[in-house]
Amino acid sequence: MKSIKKFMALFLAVIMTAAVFSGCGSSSKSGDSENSSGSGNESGGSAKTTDETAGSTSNSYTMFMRSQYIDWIKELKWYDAAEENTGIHVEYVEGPEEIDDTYTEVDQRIASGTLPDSAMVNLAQAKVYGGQGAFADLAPYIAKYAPNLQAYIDANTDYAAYVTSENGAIYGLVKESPIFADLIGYRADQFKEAGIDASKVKTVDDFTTALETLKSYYGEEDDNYYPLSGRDSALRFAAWFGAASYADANGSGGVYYNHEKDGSFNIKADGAYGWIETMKLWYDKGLINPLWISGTNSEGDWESQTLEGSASVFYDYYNRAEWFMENGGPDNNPDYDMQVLNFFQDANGKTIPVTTSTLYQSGCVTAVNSSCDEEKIATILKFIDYFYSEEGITLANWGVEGESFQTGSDNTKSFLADYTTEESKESGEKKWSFLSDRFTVCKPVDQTAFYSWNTNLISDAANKYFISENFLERPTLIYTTEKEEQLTGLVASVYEAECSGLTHFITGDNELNETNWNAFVQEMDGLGLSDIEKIQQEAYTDTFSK
Amino acid sequence: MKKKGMKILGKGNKAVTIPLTKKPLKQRIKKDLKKNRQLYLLLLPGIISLILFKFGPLFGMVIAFENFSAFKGILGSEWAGFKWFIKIFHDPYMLKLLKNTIILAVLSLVVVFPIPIIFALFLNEIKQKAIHGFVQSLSFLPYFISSAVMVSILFTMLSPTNGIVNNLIKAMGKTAIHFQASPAWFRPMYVFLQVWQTFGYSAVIYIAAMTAVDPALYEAAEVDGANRWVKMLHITLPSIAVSVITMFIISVGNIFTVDLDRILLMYNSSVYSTADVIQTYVYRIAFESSGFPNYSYGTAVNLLKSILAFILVMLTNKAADKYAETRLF
Repeated sequence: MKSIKKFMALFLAVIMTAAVFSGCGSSSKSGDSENSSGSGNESGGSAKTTDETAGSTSNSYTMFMRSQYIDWIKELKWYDAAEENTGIHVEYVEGPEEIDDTYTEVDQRIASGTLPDSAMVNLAQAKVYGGQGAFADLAPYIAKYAPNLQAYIDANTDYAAYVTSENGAIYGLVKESPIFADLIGYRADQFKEAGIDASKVKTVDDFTTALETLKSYYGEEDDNYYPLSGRDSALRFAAWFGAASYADANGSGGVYYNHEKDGSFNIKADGAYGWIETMKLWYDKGLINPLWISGTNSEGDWESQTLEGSASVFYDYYNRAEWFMENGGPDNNPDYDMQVLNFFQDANGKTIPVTTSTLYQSGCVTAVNSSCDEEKIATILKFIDYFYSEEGITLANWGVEGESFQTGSDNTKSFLADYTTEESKESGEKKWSFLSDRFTVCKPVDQTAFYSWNTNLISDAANKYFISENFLERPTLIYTTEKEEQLTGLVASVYEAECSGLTHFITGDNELNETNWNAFVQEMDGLGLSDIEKIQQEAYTDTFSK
Repeated sequence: MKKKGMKILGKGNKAVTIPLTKKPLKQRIKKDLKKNRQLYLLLLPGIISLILFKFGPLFGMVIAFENFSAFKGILGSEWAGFKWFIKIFHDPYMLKLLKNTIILAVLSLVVVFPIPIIFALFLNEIKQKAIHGFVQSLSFLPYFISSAVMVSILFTMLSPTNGIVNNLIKAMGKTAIHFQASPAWFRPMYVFLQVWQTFGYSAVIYIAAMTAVDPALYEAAEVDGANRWVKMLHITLPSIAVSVITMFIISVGNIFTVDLDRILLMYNSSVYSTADVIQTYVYRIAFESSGFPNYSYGTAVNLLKSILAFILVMLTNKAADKYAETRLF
């Protein structure tokens, strides 16, 4: 009996100790190459000469990426063709579903030494960790193994300046992003029924009048009818009042950092007060959904409101009008007709320019683990380089000639593949898709192809309105690591406080008058708004004086 | 040499000497380890776990004094001294965050803390075992429901368009209240959710303490003509005082710890003025998708918060010892 007790005690102790230790350590998946975590190598990530990467052959490499992007890649026909043409296979390592979590996991993988051959990081991570030795300096290898990419860098000095670190190294490759603005979608059938001629809605005042007409027509029957609705933040109309944030040769206003397109506003602009005054008017008259103003209208709420007729107008992502047509609008109501409203004009009849996305963005940067040997780096760069070749650019933006596109006698390309048929295929099914706003591989974007890969409703609107005269200047600014660190901290406190203060003015929690407005602007300056503007202005000068 | 000690009669009436002086500590430990080696063996995994997962990570707090880099690690990152702590005191937003955090924490303590005690006292008066058990289980249930679901249920009930609460308000001829967008309503909603989710769980501790109260005390009180209220206030409550004080000291220790999940689920641009707390700010700084994550600053803020909480716990413990003659440690 005593010996059984002894044995049990020993057995339990061993089991429990094993359980404790099972929580320790990390196991890298096969195919992952480990980086030299914790070495503190300051040399800047020169590649090792011996092959330390495991699990991937010389014609393949591993890449850590957001899981959703991997799912998209697996569906793309042109991507399969690219792997076939290059003879290079990428083994993707799934990251989290959310993009922020993906960057956080990069930190964790770097700390635990489980970073694969390459990874999707943000530019700050690439530059900081690259400088410390976690990522390889790609500059010498690009010159050696990626002639097309090198030609692209040489031809685009702004790109070169953006990706190059202060020590002259390139630790991460930035993709091109399509340039587009938000569009105003409206229920053409409801406009017609309420007696509104959409072609005559030319100014913001006309727009307000149209909203009032809709409210009086549909609002009587439905207490919850608000003509204008949306998702996320409702603070997206500043550009219509000349109050978007900016950075140019004359200075900087508002939070431009990370808000080049969305949530762009400058409370010190001449039109800022008028912008909030107008939004307050919309709010007071029930023209805008109060849930949206307060930031509690979810994407699902907005979609159901717009599909069910509790909202008639939105100002959102460029292809959203089509989304409603394809996702139940006409199915529930045969008269359902979502159209795109023209860009607004000012009092002089001039089109009001709006904010757009930027060509180069700090997210979805491809960095290469410094523990990769030269052969592996060459493989990675050769694959990326393919997408900078003429053949690769055509494949990634138009697909295969005769299958997905054709070339006309005037040498212009047009799609053969039908957008609706291809994009409505079941998830996981192979398809032609050229939605270049999604990250797949580091590559340039053919803007014409991007605009064309839509239904006629959106491609017509994009080709008509997405012209440089209608866009505000959105320069890509280069910040030093130190300045970016300062900005991140300042923006974390100032931007949320600005949103909160503006919302309180709109809802009436804080009375909108000159005295309160000036006090608000002063308060924001005290929190650091003026410091943000100063850093942005310096960054502009530094970027464009090079 | 003659042994010092007390002589007693042992077996067969032989004199046995019991030593009065203690053996050296080393010998006693050795003897104890040998005697109870199986128990110590069972204790070993727990101690290893405590060292590895509780004490070990405390070393990570050193990153508050560094310019931490995940690549360089804790030992390799460059030393920054008190740079981040100085930044906290120079951060103009910190005062507002501190105010919001303290108000929320004090409200939680003042409102949330007494409710399980009151609930346990009343529940203790229910003599039918089945009803007692049923009510206790029912009160315990919300603890197992996630914050996301609880917030969702609350927001559905409070919806300004079709929520049951606003339907009642509108039926009474009043204007609907947009609770989710009201900075003034944020704190009551937060506290209400905390009560809803935790009171049943917290009450278990007090109910357990009540089972240990000597029934003779109640019988004696009944003989003296005490009614239920008198028994509750003069027997039950004093009997569980040690548990109450212990729980109070623990609650004070958590005073700066708000439920981040719940706040993130509840906050929006309308309520930032009352909902933005230290934890949400640290979250924004450390996990912002752009820029380089500043883990060091986030850790410095949290370390400072922990030190303040520790001081409060010590003071409360001292006060409890002085005024209630009981303490946690």
